[in-house]
Amino acid sequence: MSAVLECPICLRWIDWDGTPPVVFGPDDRPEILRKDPREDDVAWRTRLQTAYRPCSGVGSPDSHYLPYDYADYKAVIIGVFGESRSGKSHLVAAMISRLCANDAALRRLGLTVEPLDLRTHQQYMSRTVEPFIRGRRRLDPTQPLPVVFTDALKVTNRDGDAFAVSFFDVAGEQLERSDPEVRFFGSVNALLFVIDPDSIPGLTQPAATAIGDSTFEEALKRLGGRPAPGRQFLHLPAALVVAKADLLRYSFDLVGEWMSRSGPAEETDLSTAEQESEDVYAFLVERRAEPWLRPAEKCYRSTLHFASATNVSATESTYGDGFGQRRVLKPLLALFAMAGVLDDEPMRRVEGGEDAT
Amino acid sequence: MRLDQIFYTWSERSLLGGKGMGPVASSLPIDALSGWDPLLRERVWAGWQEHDRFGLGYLRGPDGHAVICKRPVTEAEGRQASLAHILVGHEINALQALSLHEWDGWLTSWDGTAELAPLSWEDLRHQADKGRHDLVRRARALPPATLAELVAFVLAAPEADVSVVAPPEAPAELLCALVEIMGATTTFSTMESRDDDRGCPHIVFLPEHHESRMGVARRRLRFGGDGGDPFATALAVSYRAEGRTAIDRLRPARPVASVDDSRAWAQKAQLSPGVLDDVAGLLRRAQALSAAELGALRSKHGLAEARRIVPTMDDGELAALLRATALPEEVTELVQGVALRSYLTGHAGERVLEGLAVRPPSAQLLREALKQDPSLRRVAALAGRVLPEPRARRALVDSVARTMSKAELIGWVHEHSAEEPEAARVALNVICDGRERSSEQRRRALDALIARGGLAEAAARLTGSPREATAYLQSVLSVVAGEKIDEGVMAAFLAHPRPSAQLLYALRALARDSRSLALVDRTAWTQFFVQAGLPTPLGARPVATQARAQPRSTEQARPGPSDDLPAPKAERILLVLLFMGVIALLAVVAVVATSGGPL
Repeated sequence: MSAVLECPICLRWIDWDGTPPVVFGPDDRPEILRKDPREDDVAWRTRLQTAYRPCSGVGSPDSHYLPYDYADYKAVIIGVFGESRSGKSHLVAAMISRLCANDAALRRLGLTVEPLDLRTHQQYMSRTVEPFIRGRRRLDPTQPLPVVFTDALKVTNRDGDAFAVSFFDVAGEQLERSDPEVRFFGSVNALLFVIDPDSIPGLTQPAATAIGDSTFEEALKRLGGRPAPGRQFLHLPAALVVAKADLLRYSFDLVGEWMSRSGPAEETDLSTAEQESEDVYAFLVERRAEPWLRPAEKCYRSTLHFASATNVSATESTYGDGFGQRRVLKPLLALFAMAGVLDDEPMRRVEGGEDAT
Repeated sequence: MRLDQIFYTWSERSLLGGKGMGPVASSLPIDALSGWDPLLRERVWAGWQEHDRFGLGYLRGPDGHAVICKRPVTEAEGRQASLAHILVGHEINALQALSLHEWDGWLTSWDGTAELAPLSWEDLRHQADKGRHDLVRRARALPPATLAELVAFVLAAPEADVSVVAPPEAPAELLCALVEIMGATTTFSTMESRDDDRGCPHIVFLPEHHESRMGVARRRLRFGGDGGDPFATALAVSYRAEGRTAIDRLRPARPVASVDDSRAWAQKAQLSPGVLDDVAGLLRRAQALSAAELGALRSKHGLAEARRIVPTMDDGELAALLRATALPEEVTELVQGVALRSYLTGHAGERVLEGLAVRPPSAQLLREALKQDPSLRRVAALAGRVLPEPRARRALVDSVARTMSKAELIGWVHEHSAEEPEAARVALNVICDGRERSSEQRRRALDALIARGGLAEAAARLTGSPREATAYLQSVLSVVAGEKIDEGVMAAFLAHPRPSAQLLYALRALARDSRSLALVDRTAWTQFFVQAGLPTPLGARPVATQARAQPRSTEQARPGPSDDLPAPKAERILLVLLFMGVIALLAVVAVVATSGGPL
């Protein structure tokens, strides 16, 4: 356990061991959790499971609250980038939904997923994931409000190594305009770039005139300030996802081909990640969408994907027949592999195999 | 005051260049808009599902204040979004912002234009004034317990930001009442879907199922607590009864900004726990005072204040106090005395009289009040309303009437006999009861009686029969004009157009001599024909003996005039000539004697 930890939200250092645990009362105000002298250790540890540690003073408006055992695990902090209405929130919700399913495909990978911050996870599931996945409701736009974890999960791999995987999904407007409140650039160690096909001229919207995604540029600029071994690449793994790929399925055979391969086995098969990356890259280059590929060129390791969080377009506020999640897990698993949560051997093996051929 | 407009909604490219929710139309130059945007962009989202609900926000900005009206909308393709119409100006205060809650000028859609014209407060004043008036009225109708709970919560930590969760009453009304009670402007939002960002206004209202994250450094109020803070309850009750006026009198000059300020205010503003040091307010809502409040009124301080305040109250307030049933006896007596004096001296009107009728003053208070030299009319009205016993009423009027001159009484009876018959009858009796002492007073009384036609009209109105009226008139005439009325006075009485038969009858009974009598008879004779629509016959005159009728039935009837006949005209001429001859002879004798002539 580290004695000192950096708050992933505001980047302040926390005296982890010296910070008292807090819990939240009915009005969500933090209260220091104190051990009852008559309480045995088991009961105390049980209570600590729902406790937090503040990064600043208890009750301070600047404080962020991290799960009490956050420092027990290696942090994987995923920053999600993309313009307003690019589909970030839908994609993240679909990813987390799939991840938390703990289905057979994930078990084959040796992954076990649990909530790390139970309260945040429950709120996220009840307010976002369940209405979206089960209720088929279109999610409301993300408000540019305080930057906090969207969700935090404890992911344990086959070797028993546990990771604190957290997601930052903030409003596109906030990413775009250099909002000083957005400081998680300093803490993220995995990047998820969401490419909106509606923005790329000639794909889905004839009138689209964008020349790139400004949030990508902003992210690369701010991440570029990090100390790194070399200035040429960002030493961060990145997954670039062409979201809403269902819109492209019938217009572009390549996309249709990948979208048709969307079963659980395919989604967890990282051996195809490289091929998919090449196809996506070529697809975008052919359509003069190089600006959207800047993260792939800038990051030391990256993968590219086609995915759809809904598989169909919404009719007013809901999704109808055909609603489903397609290839949403693979970009996340690719990030896990590049970040060390998963063994990245399958990806490397394919790379090697292709090289050999 | 200039008000600039800004409109926020989702667009591919806002006026400031970004994609997403941003300013798409404004009357501000870009530089100024850029100054406002960092503050506004976090406050323009309406993150709730009910599309018929909007949130009104009030913020302090870099260059004045902003009023935000935001609402959720569904875009053409079914996507959820928000839009917000914002007014910014230098001197908008919280109440003005709230007064725009019902403004019908809030934009609810965007027509694609990037320019909006600035407004002026004058453009909005009419609606804003009406809006504020209506809002304050609704705020004052809030349940005091609910308002007290909110006030107590804020007073417990005035510096802390507050979120009110699922309020049982409308947020705008609660905010209006709170702002009026606290007397300080505050930033607010009547509806937010979350309260976990640092830019949140001082007071916000949240739905039951809001989206805030944990660890919010704000105090959250959920109604339904004990609400037992006596000071807050007293403030709420006072606000409901009198609005902010009463609280303005009690509030410290410096805004209440800390819990110490709250305590100091509570200590200074209360006579006892739950009783504001506002005796005027207690008196104004005397109908519904608690036991503690009644005790405070009964205290030395309360009574002293009441003695100072009650005389300054208006009719409505006095009347309400007179109707209050549970007031301490000392206060009731004080109010009765003030009301009596006020009414009798002509300052108070019918409402106070009605109040006095509900709570009649004691005889002692009446006696005291009569020292104010009240008008008989007021006394008469008072007696008629507050004294059920006829004898007592008449005695009261009698006592006042006796302080008046006959001339005044005659005038009063003449003017008020129709509306105050009982008092007029008493006054008439007082007139009949003895002569004025001084000749001047008697002359004035006679003038007054002549001017009022001998009170013939009043006597007729106040009596049951012509004979009774005649008797009264004879009595009044004999007291005022004397037992015998000479020709000159008689003529003055008869100069009144169309004297009544009762008056002629009474005058005739008091005629001093045959000439007076003839004058009356001639008038009666003339009037007889005139009333029949005929001219007076030429050369005709009444026969004196025929006109010598006496009142027969009244005890007060006096003997008729003497039986002397009027002298024939030729005899009168001879008598005059004889008298003049004697005078001339005496003059000749006197001249001769003084000059020493041949005689």
